[in-house]
Amino acid sequence: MNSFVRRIEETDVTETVIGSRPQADGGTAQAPMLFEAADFSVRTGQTPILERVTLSIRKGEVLGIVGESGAGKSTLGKCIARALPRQFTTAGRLDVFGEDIGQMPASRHRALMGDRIAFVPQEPTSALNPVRRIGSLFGEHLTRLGVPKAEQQARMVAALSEVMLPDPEAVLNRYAFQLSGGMNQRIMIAMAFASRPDLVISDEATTALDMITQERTIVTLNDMRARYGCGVLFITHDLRLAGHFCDRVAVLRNGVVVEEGPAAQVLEAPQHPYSQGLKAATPRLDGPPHPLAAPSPKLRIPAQPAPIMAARGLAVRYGDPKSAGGQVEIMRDVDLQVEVAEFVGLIGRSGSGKSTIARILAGLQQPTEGDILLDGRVLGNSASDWQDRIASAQMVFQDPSSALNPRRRVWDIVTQAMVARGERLKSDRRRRAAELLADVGLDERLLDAYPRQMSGGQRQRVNIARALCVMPRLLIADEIVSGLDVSVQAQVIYLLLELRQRHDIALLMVSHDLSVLRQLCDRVVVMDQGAIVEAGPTQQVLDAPQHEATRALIAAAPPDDLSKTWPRGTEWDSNDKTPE
Amino acid sequence: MTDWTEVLRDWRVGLGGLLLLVLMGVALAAPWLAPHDPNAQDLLWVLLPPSWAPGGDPAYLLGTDTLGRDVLSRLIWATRSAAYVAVLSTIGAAVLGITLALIAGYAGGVLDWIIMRAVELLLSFPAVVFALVLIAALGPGLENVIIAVIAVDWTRFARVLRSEVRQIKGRDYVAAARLMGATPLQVVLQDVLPNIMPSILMLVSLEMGGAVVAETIISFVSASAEADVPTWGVIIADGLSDIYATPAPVIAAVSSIVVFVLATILFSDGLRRRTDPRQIERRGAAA
Repeated sequence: MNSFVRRIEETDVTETVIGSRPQADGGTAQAPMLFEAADFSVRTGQTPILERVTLSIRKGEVLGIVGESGAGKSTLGKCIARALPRQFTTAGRLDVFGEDIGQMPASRHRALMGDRIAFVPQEPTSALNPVRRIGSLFGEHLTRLGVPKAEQQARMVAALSEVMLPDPEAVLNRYAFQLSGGMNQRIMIAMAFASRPDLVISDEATTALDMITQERTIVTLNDMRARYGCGVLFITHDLRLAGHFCDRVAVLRNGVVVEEGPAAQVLEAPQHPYSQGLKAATPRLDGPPHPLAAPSPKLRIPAQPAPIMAARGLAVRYGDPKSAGGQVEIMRDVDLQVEVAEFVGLIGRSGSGKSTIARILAGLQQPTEGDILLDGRVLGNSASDWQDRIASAQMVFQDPSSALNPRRRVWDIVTQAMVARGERLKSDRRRRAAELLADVGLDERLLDAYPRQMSGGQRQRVNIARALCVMPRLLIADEIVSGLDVSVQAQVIYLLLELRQRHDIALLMVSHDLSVLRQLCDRVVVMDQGAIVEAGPTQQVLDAPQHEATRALIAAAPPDDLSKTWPRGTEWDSNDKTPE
Repeated sequence: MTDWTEVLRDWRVGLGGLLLLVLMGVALAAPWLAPHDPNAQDLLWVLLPPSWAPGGDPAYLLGTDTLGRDVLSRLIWATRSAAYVAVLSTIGAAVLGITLALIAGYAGGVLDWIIMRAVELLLSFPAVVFALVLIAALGPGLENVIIAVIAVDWTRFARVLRSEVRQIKGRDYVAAARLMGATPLQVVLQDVLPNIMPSILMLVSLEMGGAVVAETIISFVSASAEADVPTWGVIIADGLSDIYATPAPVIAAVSSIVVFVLATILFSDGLRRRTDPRQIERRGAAA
């Protein structure tokens, strides 16, 4: 186990807060206070969710709340919205505009919500009613704000122009599902700012978006804040993002604010051991490969490259070429190969076809054209080819909570493959399961646990252990670290590298996180709109990108250096046109 | 994992389950519980009111009907008929419906098309009329009522469960099981079936109530069992002509039906609330 991970886990919850209290901060003391939590606690039964949290936001200020899952980040936003489940109890004060949220009458609270306090949600597409046009949803919001019907159209067009949506009139006539996630998020921002709110609460507003869309959303948010001078409560798990966008940052751990202060200070030179651990666990964009990532000796030996698995001329098309809509081309001319013990990263924007390649290689999807080769032999549809394939290449799925059957116990999940081979004896299976758990660094006591009883990181390890049961030579991993907290992410990276040293495993890793690929992969392959546009050694591709799509991906990631300007500005690419 | 002690603690599950247990107990113990032969006629004592009403006889707790038969005994034996129909037709409809739902939902393609068109065909025709036609063809008898109810009600299981099977088929753990080399049968039995269990339980308990209602309707129009088998529908039909003289038989039979159906609804509603993950999340702790 890495030392910094252990440090995070062993940090004492009760340690004192380091950093300046907002009261002591003189810089913005004149600006009016928008939001103030004073010794604010939330608990459910005996379990504390937030413990004596003291925070504040003044006008024009962005306060970032960072922390890992379960730290209580979202609870603060929920308290302001008064959306806490019933069994939660609160103590202390939580003021907005100098009034205690807990004490104000429901009607007063309703009047503030959506007017002086606005929310930007995590999943913009599910926040917009899919059966109503954007114009109708926006119009309803304006009616509520008291804008007369006659002025609404002009107001909506102006608002959508402000968030830099091309062709606002056309957007108003669309449904949410016809627009991209990034466009929907900008619509949510436009709606949030329609009331000229004084306080905006953004809960992981960019987490569901890809890097390029994330950058654009942050640009928009930043722009609107500068224009209207509101305060922003910015909840995120991404330290770099918080560092670039926030003025002040509070690090939350198990409901306790362990450190709070100016963003640059907290993130560049954290004082508290937990924040230091978080910083250490965050992979750097320009950093060296992981200490364990030295290429396996095996990789260098063969003079002739010996790919385990290769794709040749893959194309995927949907629809009937003779029908009116014609065919939709998802992917074309994809050639890809993974050598023995090689770690290959596959990057690209969402919708570029990365996951489709992973599924095709694993055998879960058939390409319209092209072949998959295993050890140089074309795989057909026969049962024996399928057996060869699943014995050599295994897939690790993105979301462990969906990839693990909730009604099976851990030992049963990780040894599924033995049942298929006819090894049904429970004692044998349990013995093998114990070995596999040891391989992925899990305690044997978890053998009889159900997936629901484990943490996200533990589940992802079980997910990996299952793929290892057949001792495959290639692991195909679809975004397996992107949903994880940084500390857990560091554990999984370590585990994968360790597996390579021990078992000479090869990896094809689909990810949008450049910093993770940089640490982990020997080679990266860049996809854009269904085609491979660039491939090469990791350092070379990331440091000197040749293709425009690669450059855009790299530029969109918030840099490690907080003094660098990010986001850079407002340039939109061709993907963002309003659909016909 | 569903915590079954937590499920049993739900008042709906508890009360519904208790009522169902009592009704099943009455059905099983009918020969010992009933004070009289349910078909024994005593023409000297016809249309007796309940024993507590003026003119009542303590030997006939709920009075007698037009033919002087003991209402209480007939009610108890009718419970037995109802339970018989409810249990057997539910098992039959569930087994048939679940099997076809698994085939249609997991295999997809032509099989799915055929099974779902059959479901729609059956649903597009009034269920009770279809059952009556079947019984007219098969002849009277509780067994034939059961066959008719199964023939109609398997569609409910098939339609609801098929869409759930399709949903689960799309989960990554099904894809993972396939990559582990599991055969379709293994996937269905180990990964799909356990995950539709809450819905199956809910449908089964609803189906018991539905089967009793269907049987009542069929026997009300005297198309159900042989003449010597008392059922709630027959008691209502017989009591209707003298409802102004002695309403007791009709009231007793109707209440029995209501209690039975209510018990199944309470039970299934409670099960749904306790096992549906969305409902659990709504009440449970949020992070």
